[in-house]
Amino acid sequence: MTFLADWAEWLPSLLQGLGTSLLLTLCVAGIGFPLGLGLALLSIAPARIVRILSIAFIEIFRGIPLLVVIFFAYFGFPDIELVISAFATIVVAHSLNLGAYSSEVFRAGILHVGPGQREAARSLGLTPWHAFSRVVLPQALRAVPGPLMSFLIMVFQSTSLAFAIGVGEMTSQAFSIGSMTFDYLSVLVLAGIIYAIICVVSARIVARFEAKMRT
Amino acid sequence: MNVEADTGALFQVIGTGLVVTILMTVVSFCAGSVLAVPVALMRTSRVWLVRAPATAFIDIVRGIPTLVWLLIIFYGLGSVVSLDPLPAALIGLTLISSAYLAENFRAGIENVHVGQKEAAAALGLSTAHQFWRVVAPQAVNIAMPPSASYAVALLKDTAIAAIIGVTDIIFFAQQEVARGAPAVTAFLVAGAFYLIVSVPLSYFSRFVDHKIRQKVVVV
Amino acid sequence: MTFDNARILLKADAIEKTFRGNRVLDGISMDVHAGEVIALIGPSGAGKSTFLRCLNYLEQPTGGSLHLDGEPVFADPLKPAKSELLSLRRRVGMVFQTFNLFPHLSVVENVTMAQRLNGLRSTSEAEEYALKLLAQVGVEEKAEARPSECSGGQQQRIAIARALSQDPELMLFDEPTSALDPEVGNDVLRVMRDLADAGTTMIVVTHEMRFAERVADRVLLLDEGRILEEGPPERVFRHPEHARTSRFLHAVLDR
Repeated sequence: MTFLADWAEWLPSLLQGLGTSLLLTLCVAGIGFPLGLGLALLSIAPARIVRILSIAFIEIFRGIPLLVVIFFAYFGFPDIELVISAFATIVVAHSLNLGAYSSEVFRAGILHVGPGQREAARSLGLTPWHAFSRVVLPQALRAVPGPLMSFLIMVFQSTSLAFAIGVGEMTSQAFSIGSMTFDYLSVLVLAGIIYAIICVVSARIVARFEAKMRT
Repeated sequence: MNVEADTGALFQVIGTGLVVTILMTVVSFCAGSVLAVPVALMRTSRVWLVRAPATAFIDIVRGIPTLVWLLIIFYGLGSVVSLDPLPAALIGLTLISSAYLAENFRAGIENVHVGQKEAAAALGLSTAHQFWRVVAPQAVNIAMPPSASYAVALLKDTAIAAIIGVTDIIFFAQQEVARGAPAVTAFLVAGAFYLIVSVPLSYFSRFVDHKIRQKVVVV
Repeated sequence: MTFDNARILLKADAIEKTFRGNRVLDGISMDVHAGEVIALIGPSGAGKSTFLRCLNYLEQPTGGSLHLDGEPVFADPLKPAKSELLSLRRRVGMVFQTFNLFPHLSVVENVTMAQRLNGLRSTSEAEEYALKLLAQVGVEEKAEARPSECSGGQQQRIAIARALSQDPELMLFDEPTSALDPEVGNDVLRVMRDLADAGTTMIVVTHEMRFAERVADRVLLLDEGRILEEGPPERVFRHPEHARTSRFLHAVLDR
């Protein structure tokens, strides 16, 4: 049972990395979800050119691997005289990715509210903006928490990609411990267990939440 | 320096990685589909002892990030059996896609209308015939659209294999940047290559979804 | 027509069904004679469909036993063997309220599949027989179509042909016209009437009182999991013994 002693020794630095992973997740969600809502609104805007551009943006970021966006930002930004930290690079790249993905959820939520609601609001003399912001949007947002929480789990998993540019989140911490001890397997398995526990437990909570929303 | 000629050269070099990217996607999707069948069957069993290992497999495999899986297999198991990057990536991606596809298949099996199985049973079909001739073909239809969109997700996931040194699109883009090519251009080219495959693939998956919706809409 | 001297084809003895402590069937016994048409009527929730589904073990009864042709169907009714289940279901055909045609197969494949898989007929014989049955129910022109390309009335008639393809000794109908518009429902009822006239033994759960009155040899009125009233249609409909029966009949006939 020597590996348990190792695990106990490594756990503090892994948990420290986990803190960074969670902080990244929060930052990405804080920027990515509002961006997603904005993109959703633009993608159903009255102006055709706005719709086309926003949908193109969404399709491009949904079609490209997150890692390409990360490398593009990390290696590309300095070329255009834009110098930001590796942490900020991850947040920017990941938020763009999340914005594109979550926009579909927001859009479906908005489209799900039938035209009758808007018509009823308009017939009360509300301005189009009020009809949208006070009647349609609140109903649309009621359908999105479940899917957005699932996105949050995916974001948490993908923060492991920060490893590729040396942000010290959990995977990086595990790997650097591995490179010092030459026992990659043990420490990576421990990191995997921590990821799995967090993801499985949150997925269960989300599933329970969604079941509750449905009733 | 001639920028156009450089970009053309970048396309050529990075394009050689496209084959590996597609190879990883196709192999792990196909092998994953095959593996997913027994997992899905176990997952839908009425016997807890059969169901529980399948549930655990799916949860654990999906609960660990792709990168961590690839690191475990390449560096971790690498100390036991030495694997080249590509086989290591194929093993990891197959494992992951089998868990995701098993969930799709399970949902397919569970969403076949209960009346279908009853009708098959009422005709005196054996349990095996009820499943393979009546439930399974319809389950495949239901599982097809989500599996097609999973193929797109898998394609993008293969990019992570570059981190363990698989010579795919990203790998060559990184290599060219290391040799002094402009990073913005190199990764735009890499992104373009992914788009060339992923956009048609996701349109195809929407098309499949639409087709199947028409066919399966229950009367 | 009386069936008192006819052979008893199916004997259901004290069939009980309990769902989570809820007694849905409270010991129903019934003899079905060969060639007889029985209509099962009653208020919704009376247990009609559950009882019917117990007769081919789509629901497993929690008590009671079944006999076909004087032989017990199961050695142990609470632990049916697979072979016993298959043989019961191959002798008893069933038609569902929602048709339940197989959407991934063509119409003719729906009718041939069980014949082939159960080893009843060779592929060519099965096909020939299927076309004959489809003609009998009036949908031969749809043989190569998908079920989704057929109207509800056509689908139900195809479902009847599919059930007949097993050469069943007894046909069960579970509210076969409830999901249909009245006009199309009549096409289905006509097919069922032809079957009855041809001497098919049938048990029909139905809300169509006119059909029950004209076609059934015997009417069973179920209420709260029991047989409340039983007899030839003219007696049950004109001179019911129980006040509850009259109340039920008034309620449905007024509609």
